[in-house]
Amino acid sequence: MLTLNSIAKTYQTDKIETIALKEINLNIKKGEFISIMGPSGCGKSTLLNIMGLLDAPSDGSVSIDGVEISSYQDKGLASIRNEKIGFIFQSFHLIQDLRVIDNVELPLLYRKISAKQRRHLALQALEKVGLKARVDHFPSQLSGGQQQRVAIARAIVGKPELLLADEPTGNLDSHMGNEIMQILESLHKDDNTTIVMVTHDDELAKRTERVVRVYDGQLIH
Amino acid sequence: MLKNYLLTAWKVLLRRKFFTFISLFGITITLSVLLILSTALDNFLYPSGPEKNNHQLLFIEQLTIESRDGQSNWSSEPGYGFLKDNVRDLKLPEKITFFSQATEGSSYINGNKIDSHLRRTDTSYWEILDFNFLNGRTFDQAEFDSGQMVAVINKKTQKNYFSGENPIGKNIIINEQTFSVIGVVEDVFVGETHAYADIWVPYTTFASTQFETELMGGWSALLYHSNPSILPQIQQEYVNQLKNDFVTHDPEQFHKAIGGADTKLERIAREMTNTEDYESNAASMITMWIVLVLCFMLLPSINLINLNISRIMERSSEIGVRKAFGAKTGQLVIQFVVENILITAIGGGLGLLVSWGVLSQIEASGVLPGADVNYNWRVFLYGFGFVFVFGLLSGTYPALKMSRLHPVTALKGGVR
Ligand SMILES: Nc1ncnc2c1ncn2[C@@H]1O[C@H](COP(=O)(O)OP(=O)(O)O)[C@@H](O)[C@H]1O
Ligand SMILES: [Mg+2]
Repeated sequence: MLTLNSIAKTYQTDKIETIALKEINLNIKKGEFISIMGPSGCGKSTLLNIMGLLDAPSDGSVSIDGVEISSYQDKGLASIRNEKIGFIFQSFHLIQDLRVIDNVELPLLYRKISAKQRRHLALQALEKVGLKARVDHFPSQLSGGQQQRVAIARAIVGKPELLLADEPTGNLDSHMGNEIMQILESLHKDDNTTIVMVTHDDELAKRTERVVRVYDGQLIH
Repeated sequence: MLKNYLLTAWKVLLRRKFFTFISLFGITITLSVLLILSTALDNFLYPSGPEKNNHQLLFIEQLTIESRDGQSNWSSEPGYGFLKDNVRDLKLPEKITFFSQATEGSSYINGNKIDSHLRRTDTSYWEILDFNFLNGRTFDQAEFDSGQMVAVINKKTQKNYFSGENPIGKNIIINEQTFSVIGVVEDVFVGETHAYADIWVPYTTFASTQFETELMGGWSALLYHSNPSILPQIQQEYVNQLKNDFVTHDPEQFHKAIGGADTKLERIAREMTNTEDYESNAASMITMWIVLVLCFMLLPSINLINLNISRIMERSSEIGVRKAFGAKTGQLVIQFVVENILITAIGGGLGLLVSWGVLSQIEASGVLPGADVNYNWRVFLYGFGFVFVFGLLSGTYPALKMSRLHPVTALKGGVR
């Protein structure tokens, strides 16, 4: 469902040029659960951002569902992200000013959906992560594990085909990390969601179907 | 969708109580000060009392005299002697009046000391200024010429001296002179500086005639023309008089006179800017005045813009998240602008209330005697519009700036 074709990414800051990625070829099939591993600074986040159309590659192309993303215009990308992709971040990135339910509804705000339907879908997603009882809490009133579960609910509320998780357990202890992993596994198994997860944890990586290793901006096999 | 934006905005405002409070405070104070000042100015420029025809008037109330050697100069109100020699014979004004400043005088009634403001005037004073007579009349030319001890008093004085009873024909003693009351007028707002007083008497009742030769101090003149467009010519005539035909009895000491006949607006502008340039027109002074007001408005504005920027900057992670989940740049701009509109509207509303409250309080408290504040809804509307537009602008710039952030940069915390 997602194909990366000789992707390269270089960052130009002042006079220094950083090569974050080079010659990345990767094909992710529908329903796959992939983990990406590699040392810090090797380009994992950059890779995930390019997959998620948050960042444009310096070279190469990305195709989603067989359609090449050729133009990186804000509007078009925003719609694709909204409909097909869900993000989970290491630091949760919940909006502190909004209650749990409003955080989860957020992706649906950018679709043409009635308020009632939004609420319904958000409750459904919260139920999946076991947090239906916390809809009216603010993020600061939740534990780290609970916050990440809210973030997962937000990522899946729009029923995206692709979930991108950048070190989703990185800020959590192993017990909570395990809970998060179980949720991702069930999303994969029950809903056939395609998941790409960056992780430092070998144990978690082993539980995925395929491990992709990045070293110094390149895939190693 | 708009409902949604408003709802989100409302939630954010409630959640960020501190920011909301500071913002509201800033907007409310700015608007209140603006409104109170402009209402005051409006009331000042367009008084509702005896000076209501001030668009037909020029004011001579300030004079600077230089000695021949240029070593010394004096500034004060003109004296009667100066006005008699240099103003009385101006050709263009239809009417001219000389009158003393209102001076404090006291009298004792049943052992109680009562302070009043006493002003001495001529008869054209009563023709030029439009006093509202509640009872009786003012003095006529014959009474004036013969120095009759007659007085016009205001309502307040009637209340204080005569417990509200009809005072016509009764005596009133002030500064050890006894006057017979011949008329009662409505109280005058102290802001109408030339009309304001408690007791008015003919200036021919002065105990001594020394004032008649004094060049400086204690007097003012009004020049009247029914056609306001003639006023600039009168100003020119007066300036020429001082320049070319200045009459003085002591040319060594009092060699050169600098002064002007100002319109009401020029008077205010001159007081604000403290300038003695009588030959430039009102426009430059008014421009200066506007610049001053703008500078004054600039401070809170910059403050609010700053506040807005830092508030939106703080939310860079939110911007990143919203973009990641499909928000378009335009939608984010609208979101922030709506938030801003909401808060400025609330602040604006509060500002209207506060200034209305303060103005009624001022009117009720009697701090300004005779104040009859006219709530000028036009001023209120302009003020509100101004704050609104400004709030919009101050919110739009940071909104535009932050909404354009690259999502990855925004997620990392934006530009610090
Ligand atoms: N915005 C940026 N500007 C410059 N260099 C960057 C930027 N983002 C990432 N990099 C660099 O690209 C490399 C890969 O970064 P990243 O993808 O975040 O690594 P990882 O997620 O594997 O730790 C690093 O060397 C990092 O310093
Ligand atoms: Mg990373």
